[in-house]
Amino acid sequence: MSMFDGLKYRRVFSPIHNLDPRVKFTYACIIFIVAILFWEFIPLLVLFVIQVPFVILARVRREWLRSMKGAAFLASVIFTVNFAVSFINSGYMITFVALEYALAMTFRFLVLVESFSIFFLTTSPDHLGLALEQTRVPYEFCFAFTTAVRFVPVLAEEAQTIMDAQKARGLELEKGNFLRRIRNYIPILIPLIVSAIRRSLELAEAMESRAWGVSKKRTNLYELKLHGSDYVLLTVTVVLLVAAIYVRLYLPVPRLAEIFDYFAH
Amino acid sequence: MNEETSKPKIISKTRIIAEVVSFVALATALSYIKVFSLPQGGSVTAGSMVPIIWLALRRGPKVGVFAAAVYGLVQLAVEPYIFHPVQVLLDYPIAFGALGLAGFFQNKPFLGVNVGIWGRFIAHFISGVIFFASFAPEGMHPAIYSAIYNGGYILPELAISIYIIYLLQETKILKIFL
Repeated sequence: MSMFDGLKYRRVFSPIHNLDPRVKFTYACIIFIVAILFWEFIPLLVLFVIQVPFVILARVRREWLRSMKGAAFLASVIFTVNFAVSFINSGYMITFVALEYALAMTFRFLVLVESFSIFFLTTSPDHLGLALEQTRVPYEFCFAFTTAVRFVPVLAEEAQTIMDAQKARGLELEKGNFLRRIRNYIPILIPLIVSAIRRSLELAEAMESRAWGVSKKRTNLYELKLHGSDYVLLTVTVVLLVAAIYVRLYLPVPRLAEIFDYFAH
Repeated sequence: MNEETSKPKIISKTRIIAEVVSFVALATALSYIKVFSLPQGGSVTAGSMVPIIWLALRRGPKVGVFAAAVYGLVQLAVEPYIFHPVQVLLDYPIAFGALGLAGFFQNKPFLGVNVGIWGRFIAHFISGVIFFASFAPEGMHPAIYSAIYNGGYILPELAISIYIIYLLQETKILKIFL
């Protein structure tokens, strides 16, 4: 089961996980708006750093580092391209303006990845489905989403079993040219598709026996309600937005070159 | 309730939903079997789009687009790559939703596969243009980069999917338990 280990959702209890997904989503969107407001390096660095406590509080450091590692490649591409272009445009001179702009773009990107990865790392699919339902997304869609996520490990295990069984019968997956290799997947795909259809028939029976979709107005056992901590995050978010707009409009944002000059003298 | 009243057997909505659920789950499971992956989250997988296209060919465009949109959301929840709100919209619900367009060509599976995957390619392509345009400086041609980047994994997937659908169609597995 090496291939599908990442599939299993680890239930982690933390203050961040217990927050309302809608509030967390608003937070991620506001962070995005704030990041777009600035094109200087320092506020973007601040924005990046203030999110780190969330990661530590949520105890998803390892997963978060993995997603940042994934983003690092693109971040370096963004940095290199931006820097190279302004390097050439300014007549082959390394300027602070160029360096700052390249760094700022890189960090704007990292902030975006960070905020949304916090949202998705700390929101279980069940919560996400519930939140979608309560924001009036059609129920069929939410149901299909939540149930499909639940079924993925089951089908992944089945895929693994079928692969092992076919290998035991002499199927060689890693042999031959491109077309040959694809054709090797057919003996795995056909049993999988047939069993997926069988499973869907069973699922349909189970659903009908529980009178799925009979009543038009559904009620939920679990309902999302805003608690104290949700209001705290909401307040933090709003304060952040207001502060960012205020700084943007009325305060001069220090640039890297100015700070360097200050220390140089 | 069901439009297909001309057919003798009326398929219940429950069965359709159940089929969508198991095929989305199957597609997600298959998307973990990677042939190789790219740094930005694109990857060439062992036919992860086949179940969705297959469902679209089996049940028509409406079910296909629905299943594809659910698949997009599942992909977003399982392995999110978020750089820009417009990019999210284009890369997940719209790009995968385009796969469901294959359902318009139920009698011509090859055309269907092509329409679905090219639709996905176009959505990823536009999203790539927006992404590169918002982070890269002026003077670059975002369209070329986007085309190269997205083409890099869509084209092998296209080839794999067409070939698999072709092989599956020979076995007449498309219409079982209809």
